[in-house]
Amino acid sequence: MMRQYLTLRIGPAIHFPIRLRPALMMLALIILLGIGTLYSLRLGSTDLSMSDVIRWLMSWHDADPETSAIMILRWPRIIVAILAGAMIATSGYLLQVVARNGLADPGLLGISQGGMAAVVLGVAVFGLSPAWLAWAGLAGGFATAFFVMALAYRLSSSTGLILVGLAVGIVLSAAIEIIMVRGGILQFARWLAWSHGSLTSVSVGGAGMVAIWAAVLLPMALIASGQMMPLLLGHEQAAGIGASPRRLSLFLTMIAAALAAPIVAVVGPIAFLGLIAGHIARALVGERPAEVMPVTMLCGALILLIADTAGRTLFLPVIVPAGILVSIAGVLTFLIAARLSPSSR
Amino acid sequence: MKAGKEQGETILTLEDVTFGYGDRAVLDAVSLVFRPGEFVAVVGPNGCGKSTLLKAMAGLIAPGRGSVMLAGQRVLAFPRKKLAQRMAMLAQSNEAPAGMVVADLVGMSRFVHEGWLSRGTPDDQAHIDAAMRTMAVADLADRRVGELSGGQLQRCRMAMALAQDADILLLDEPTNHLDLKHQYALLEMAREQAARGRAVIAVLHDLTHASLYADRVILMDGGRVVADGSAADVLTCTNIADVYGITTVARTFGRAIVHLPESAGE
Repeated sequence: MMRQYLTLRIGPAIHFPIRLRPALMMLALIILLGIGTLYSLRLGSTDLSMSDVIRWLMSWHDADPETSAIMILRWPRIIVAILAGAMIATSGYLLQVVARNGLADPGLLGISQGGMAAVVLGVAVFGLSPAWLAWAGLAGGFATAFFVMALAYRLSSSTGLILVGLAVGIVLSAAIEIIMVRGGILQFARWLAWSHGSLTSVSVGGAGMVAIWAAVLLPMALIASGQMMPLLLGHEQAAGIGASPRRLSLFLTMIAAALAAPIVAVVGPIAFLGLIAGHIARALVGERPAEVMPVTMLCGALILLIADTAGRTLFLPVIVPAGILVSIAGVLTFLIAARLSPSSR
Repeated sequence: MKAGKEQGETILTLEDVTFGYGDRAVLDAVSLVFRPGEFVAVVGPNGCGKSTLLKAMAGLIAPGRGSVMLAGQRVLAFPRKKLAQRMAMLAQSNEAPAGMVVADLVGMSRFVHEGWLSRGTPDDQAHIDAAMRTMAVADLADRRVGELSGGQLQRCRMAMALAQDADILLLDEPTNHLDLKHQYALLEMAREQAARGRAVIAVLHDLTHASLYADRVILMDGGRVVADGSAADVLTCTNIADVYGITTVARTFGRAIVHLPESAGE
């Protein structure tokens, strides 16, 4: 195993070792993400040449109008795929650390369903405009996260959190289906597409909104990751080494809910991504949250980008929802990562 | 380190500490005083409240009545990090994930001395290295927790508590999983930590260990302190019969007191 690291040292107050292996891993993932983005911009119902893509990237405004017309359809979707992938993955990893259970993700803890229920309720019953859906999703996700944490608070075991989340999620799913069935068959069909996590209807506005959420929440998750390590030892031991596990868990759960909810509103729930990205990242770099967190973000972004690009190009004229392909891409990536894992496990 | 401290100064005081789950009292009006430089063994039958006592001292549970005072201030009023700088605890159960590297596990207790932008300093590293040498686990630094034997893991966790560099060490059954050699090495280490001026408070099951190494033995039963004093005064056949409900014969080898069942005598 590589133990080399560089140390960032400024004066007596700042001393920050940076390990090389995770840093190189991040660099590799960023390069892969860059290449993925270029290919994703190039491919579609009308394939462009790479030089067209690069020329368009270089000259945002005075680009060839034909290329621009195609790009205006593609780039918001690609931005959303990258950011939503990173956000869902981060949400899942945060919940895995808080619940100390590798199976936790926003779907398992009911947070996705809470967001969905609020969105469905907002559309079907209150007739909310699309601009408000993310807020409705956020409120629903937050409310569910609070509710689940409050119910699980007295059950000191981490399995309690999962069980309560599962129960709340099932009840909410049932509620969502009742609302949708009452809305007629056309609405039901539209909901079915959304509930599988599809990026087809992403607009420039949607991309902008996701970008704002990401710009606020992803840095918060990165900063918090530096304080998360004691949680891995359980609440009692964490408190014994000076952490405040309950407060930290609540804070991290709220970030996780805030990360998942707007994505549920814009893209729909993407099952499996929140679960798998954290596992892949841990297989690649080990258990230190400060290193796992950025790698998780990059893995999530890469998986959703690849899944969405494959979904809209491989099976033309059929467009497969990204959520379905994420499951397939996720399993493949997971197997590869397990082979690359730093030591025999 | 704290060598200049005079005898008689107290570091940790429990006044009338009572704690229970529902109606069942786990700790019942416990009042104790601990001094720096002392190795105290807490003994008693299963479920007598020994572990709960340590948790109350560490501020991990809030007593229903009474208070735990550290250097004249309520333990529960301390910010967590400040408290952990004074007090390190070896808990009974381990929950470290199997994939965690031993060096990270041991190093994690340096969290209490970390700033947002200052970690892994040469001072941190010196404490981690010293703790790992003391517990003879330096060669395990790169291994993963899941690869260790129970005894190796226990020594790594003890190294973690040592690296925290606190004045008070609370050890819940520290000799668990250890073989004969490492049991005695750990007890020697605990006594040495006390000799350096730390207060070492350990829950022990082996009365012979307690008599051989501890400066003072606290015998508990049903959440109460039954006896508190030197091993010779506390570990008498009468006390043992009262608390454990077994008639024994006691033999002494130097400091060590060995209690054998009556039938094993002749």
